[in-house]
Amino acid sequence: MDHILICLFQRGGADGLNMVVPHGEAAYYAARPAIAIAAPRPGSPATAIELDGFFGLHPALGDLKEIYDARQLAIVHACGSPDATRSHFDAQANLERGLISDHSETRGWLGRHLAATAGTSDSPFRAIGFGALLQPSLRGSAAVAVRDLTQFTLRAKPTDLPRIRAAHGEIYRGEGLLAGAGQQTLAALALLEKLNPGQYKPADGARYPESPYGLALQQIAQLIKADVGLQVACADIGDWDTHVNQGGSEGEFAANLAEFGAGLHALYADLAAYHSRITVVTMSEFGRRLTENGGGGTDHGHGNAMFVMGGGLAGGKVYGSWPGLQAEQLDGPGDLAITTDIRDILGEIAQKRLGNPDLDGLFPGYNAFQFRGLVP
Amino acid sequence: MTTTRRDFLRSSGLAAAYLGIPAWLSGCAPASPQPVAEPLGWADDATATLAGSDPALLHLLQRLTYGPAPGDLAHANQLGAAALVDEQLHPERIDDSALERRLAGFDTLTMSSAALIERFGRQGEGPQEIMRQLQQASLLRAVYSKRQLQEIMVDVWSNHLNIYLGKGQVKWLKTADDRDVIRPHALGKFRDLLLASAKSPAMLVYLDNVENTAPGARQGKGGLNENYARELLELHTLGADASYDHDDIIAVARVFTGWSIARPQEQNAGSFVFRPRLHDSAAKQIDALGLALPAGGGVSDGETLLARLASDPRTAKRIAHKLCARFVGDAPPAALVERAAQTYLASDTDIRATLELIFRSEEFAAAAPKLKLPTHALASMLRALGAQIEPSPKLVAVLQQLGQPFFGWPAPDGYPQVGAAWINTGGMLARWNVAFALAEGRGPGVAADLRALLPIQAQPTAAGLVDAASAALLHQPIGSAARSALVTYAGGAAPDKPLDAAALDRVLPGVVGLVLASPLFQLY
Repeated sequence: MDHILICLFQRGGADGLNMVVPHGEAAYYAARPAIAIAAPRPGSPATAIELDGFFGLHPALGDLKEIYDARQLAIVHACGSPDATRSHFDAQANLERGLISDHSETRGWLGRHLAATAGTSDSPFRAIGFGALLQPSLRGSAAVAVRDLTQFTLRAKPTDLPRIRAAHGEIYRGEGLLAGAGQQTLAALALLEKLNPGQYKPADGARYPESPYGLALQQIAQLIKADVGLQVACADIGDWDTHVNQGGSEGEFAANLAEFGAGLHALYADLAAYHSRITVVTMSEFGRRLTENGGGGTDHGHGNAMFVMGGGLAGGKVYGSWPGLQAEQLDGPGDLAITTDIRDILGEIAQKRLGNPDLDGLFPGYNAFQFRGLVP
Repeated sequence: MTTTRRDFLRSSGLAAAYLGIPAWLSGCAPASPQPVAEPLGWADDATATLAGSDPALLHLLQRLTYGPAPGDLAHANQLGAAALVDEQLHPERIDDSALERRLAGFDTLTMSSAALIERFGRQGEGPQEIMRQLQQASLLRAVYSKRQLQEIMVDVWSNHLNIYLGKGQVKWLKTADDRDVIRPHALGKFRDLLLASAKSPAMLVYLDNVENTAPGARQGKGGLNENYARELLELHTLGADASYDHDDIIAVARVFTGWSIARPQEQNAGSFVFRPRLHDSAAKQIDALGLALPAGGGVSDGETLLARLASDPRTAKRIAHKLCARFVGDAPPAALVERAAQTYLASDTDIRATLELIFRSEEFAAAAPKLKLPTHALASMLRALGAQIEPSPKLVAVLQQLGQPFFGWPAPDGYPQVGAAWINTGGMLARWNVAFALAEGRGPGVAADLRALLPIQAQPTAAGLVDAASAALLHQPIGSAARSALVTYAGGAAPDKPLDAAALDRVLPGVVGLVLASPLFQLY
């Protein structure tokens, strides 16, 4: 059975320091008098959730503790893309291209992975990206771009539809620039019709957030259970660009984080029978500045925390060497330094979970891979 | 891919397309259309009845416009190829008053940024109306302007000098950029366009040059912001493969310190202002250009630099490549790019002269089909249908579904221009659904009279209907396999039986929708 990678992108630069809180660092509290998350105190719900005596989860991520304790959730801190840019656009584009400086490369790292392993599946739902445009990381592959599977239908006058579809299928048969994509679209439509995505019932205990992000996760789970040959799925969750009024244990960031965590937990609960076949990885283009700004928020930073979830991982641990938050330990204008190149994590997953040994094809020009042992 | 257009047509079984355009679409059409011959089909019939029409003219029309609208081919036939190119290269000579009347209600298009900020600023109604009008006007222009090449070039430069409408104050400023920067220079000198863009308040905000100040000029705040400098060199001019380094970027950033915009409480809010106190007035050395700017040059430092960049051979190559890619093919012939770059340099960065060379080249005539990007696809469907548009936010939202709303690309590199970036299942399905919606009269605010569009008799056969739809929408036969699928759709088991009024009403939208959704329509 194929292994399935679910890639979740926190768009806008999520504040990793308040997501996975270094409560053992006095400098963290000194730099964030208004928005820091208090060190764990049992019985106090507004404090961090203890992980390992140094790090704690933001209280809005309570859903994730169960998965961490089950060793199916690993965290990597001070991780990210070594690219120094603090521009959302550049940082996202570079990361999704697989940190290739050559801007003429139009394919993303997942697109290159899918192209390299094309022989393993001919499913029209081999790769899917939820959103209006295909995630740049998936470019270069025949991935389905869709916002909502229930809307992925050919719409014509209902009484006429069967005949329209028949003629349309004939017109897109044969050779030509669009025949392949056309046939693939028709195959996807036919497959979805049997699936009836509007009728999906998640497993008991799985409650997906009512949002585009939650819907995407639910539909990914549905595709997995329907065994349509899915190998890679991408979804996004936005609103992480918290320059103002970020809040601490409550507020805008906390609410966003609760949605983020609830989605991960819903996947975990809904796909209990599939854990060993699934790897969920989360990323954001960069973290945020250590010191809070005058508007109760944080500005663009550098290093970040990421989550990796799945059965059989060496989870229940925060990976990465901690660079510290003293002034001389910070990167650039005062940001968490990066001690783990995100390519080390993604490369380990690609090679050991997805069975793609050609890491140079995924991340050309990077040859310092150090696997961290997330995948035993 | 080395397939030429000729090969493509042949391999698609479409060689008959070279035989030309039906007489009833050309300027010398008979008063009432002739019945389409059966069972030989339209293509064979056309060989017998057509004289003097030129397949190269259809190609030219496809490339210089957002697709032919009813009557365009007749107009082109009257002019001939050379005059058509000449006409489109000189938009100022084309009467566009019909479009202007359609835009009469769009009052924000003519307002100054100061007036827009005043009326739609923080105390006012908010910027939604400004964005709505700009996006809707862009679609109306693509569909209805007679200055079609001008509109295509506006799209080219709006992506080359991309500005994302959703970023901060850009919402109030992009209207002026479109009107005062992109449009006046779309077919002019690239040097002038580049200079205008550098001073465009929307660009200054989008690429953060408003934050770019001489280090130490504002106590404890600010300093150099390299964003504009980097994109100016990498995207707007020299290109990423040119040999410049971080020192060059820093020097260019220093050149543009103090290039800013007037704040809402200042005179001429939202327009360009040079702030000498925030400018780094020391001498600058840009090694990649061999350019030394002495101390104290002020705003002229930037003007000198931009002129130099515009006429750099590396910029010439990039602009030439971009234009050849847009009008000839995603991987244009290197020899043509080279000649276009030479023309660009010899003509003092003249866009019109460069385009003229491309349009008159053999490579252009032999170009293989390209995929219409989503905006092009939608505009060409509306044009082919002769649709009447009642502007509606929902119609602009169709472009969102297709993935290419106007000014909606966040990153500075602009929407991907190669077809491959757009060929995916979601995109295909979205195109098909737009085609069926427009044909069935479900397009938001869109009305099209299909009966008036197709020169058909009262009771055509299924084949006659299909051929008429191919002729009116594609101006060429659709290919035998597609044709027989369409005939089966329209005529069922009795393709030769005349369709009565009820049957015609039933199948006409489907035939039109299927033709619009077909690969031949989605390519150009």
